[in-house]
Amino acid sequence: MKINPVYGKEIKLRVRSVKFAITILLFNLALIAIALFGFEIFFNVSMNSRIDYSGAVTVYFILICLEAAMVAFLVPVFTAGSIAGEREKQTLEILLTTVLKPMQIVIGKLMSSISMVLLLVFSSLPVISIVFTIGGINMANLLQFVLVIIVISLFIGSIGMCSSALLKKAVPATVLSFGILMIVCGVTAITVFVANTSANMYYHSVNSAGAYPDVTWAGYLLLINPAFTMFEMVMSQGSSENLIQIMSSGLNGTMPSLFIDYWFECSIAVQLALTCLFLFLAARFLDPLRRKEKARKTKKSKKKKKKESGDVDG
Amino acid sequence: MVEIENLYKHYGKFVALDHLDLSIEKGELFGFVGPNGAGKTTTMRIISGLLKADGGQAHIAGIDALKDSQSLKRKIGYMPDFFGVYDNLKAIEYMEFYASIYGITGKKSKDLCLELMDLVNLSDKAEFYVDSLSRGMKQRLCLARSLVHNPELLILDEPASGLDPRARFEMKGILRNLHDMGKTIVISSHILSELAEMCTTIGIIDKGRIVTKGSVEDIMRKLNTTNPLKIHVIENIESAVRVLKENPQVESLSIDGTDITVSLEGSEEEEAELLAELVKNGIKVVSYVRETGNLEEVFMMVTAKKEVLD
Repeated sequence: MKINPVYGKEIKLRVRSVKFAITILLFNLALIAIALFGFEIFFNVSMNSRIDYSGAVTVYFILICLEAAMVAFLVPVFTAGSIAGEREKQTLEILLTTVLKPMQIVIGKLMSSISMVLLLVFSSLPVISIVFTIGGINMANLLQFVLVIIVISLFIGSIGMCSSALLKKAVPATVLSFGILMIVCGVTAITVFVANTSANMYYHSVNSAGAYPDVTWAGYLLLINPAFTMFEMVMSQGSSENLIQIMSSGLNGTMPSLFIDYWFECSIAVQLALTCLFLFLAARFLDPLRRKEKARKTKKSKKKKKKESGDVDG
Repeated sequence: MVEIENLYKHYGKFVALDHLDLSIEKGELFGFVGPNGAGKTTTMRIISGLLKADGGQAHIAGIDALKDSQSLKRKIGYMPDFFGVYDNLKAIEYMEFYASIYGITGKKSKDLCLELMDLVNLSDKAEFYVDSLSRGMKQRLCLARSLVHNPELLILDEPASGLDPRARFEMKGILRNLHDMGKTIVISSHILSELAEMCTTIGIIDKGRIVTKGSVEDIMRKLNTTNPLKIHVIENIESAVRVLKENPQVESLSIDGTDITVSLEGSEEEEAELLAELVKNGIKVVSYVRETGNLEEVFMMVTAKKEVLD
């Protein structure tokens, strides 16, 4: 099997450093400490004679949420610095004169960056599996978590790659990718909240005779929100209630059964589609010939606009 | 090997390449000379597929460099003026990485990389980390890297910049070797004397246009015709001055003992005719020579002429 040369080189560089081995060790030690602390709280420090075995599941949820947060934090840092870092080190130009296509460079960089994060996640699976000693979570749940982590890594990583290809410096690229991630996670959630509140306020102050305004459209925005995908998965694993059904009712409407029954699959599909879009954009930004053409056109169109406005003024 | 016609590139109002025409034959070691901002790097970046031209045509080894950059990249090896290296990679791994890009892996890759490192006198540094090498060694390693896919054309932008005299000497030797191996090489440099020693052809570029092009000797000969003619005679200096004054090509002359300095703007044939005239008049000419300039002077003269014309 032919390995992407950029991926091969990056993995060699990253894995070679002792820093990475130490990171894996410390990360797992931290997870073990949290897991043992959780078990201690739920099973040994009992205030009464009753032991709540669902505490093990709570520990599991805490651990996987911590891992998801780590992915959301580390992936933009790794990916946003990848191409911009090559540019800063003046190694990108040489790479672009080789037969490597921009998309191959982008894929190689993305895969190497998220491989590091996924290696951290996979290394921690034995720690997470501690919950199997008590029960409440099965192998399918764990595999679903792994799937979510992979998709979230790809999605957030593609945002980082796009920022990295667009901007020349690693720091602004990192800031931009966190900014986009904030929009994707924060703004979508806030929009849902604002839409719901506005609809209720509108009903109570203006139209109390009719029905609550249907704002389920806002709920669809959450399909692109990886944090909500994670939250929905945790809820579906830990509770028998359908979160989407509850949200749909809260937004005063009814979503099609496709979304109510298969929200997880739909959100995964949407986020993978967006991943492809961001990667396509990253490859375009990286292509020196397309990049210059675009800049030139923008300048030209600005000049044209200026001229046109000048003509009008004149 | 390289056919550039009417190549045009501008950055806003600044015209970097002004309908540049250039032709480089296969096997030439072509020196690209010009002041800063003349368009050397822009030309090199366009024919390396790193920059889009605004107009014109460029063909490299029969490939349309402006349209088929993917095929172009198999034919060229490019070394930029400034470049970085990867930390934590050994020199041999650095080479193997670029070999893997061209699908060369395993033992074949290792053998090839060691062979190329030997070519640039770095075989003993194979296991050294790249960032521990000196600048000269890094330049040579980058040159070896650009040869990994056996390109037909090497484009080297200021390969000797920032190198100490010894490293420059070594680089010059390597480039000569490559030329002897049949590679076509385009090299830009500010160190004109080195280009003059090394290159088979020189092209002087100024304000985005090729001002003059040819072998170093041709260019010097062409431009030396404006240099003064130094004549040393024995006796009969008055007759010599008379003969020289009678010649319509002679613009002015000055006498210093038995040395006469003549300003004669004419071809080599006219020069020879004047010498024959002197000898015919019984003047004993000991030496008769055009003052020669060096490439720096030629370069200054050519670019200054262009400025006057502009």
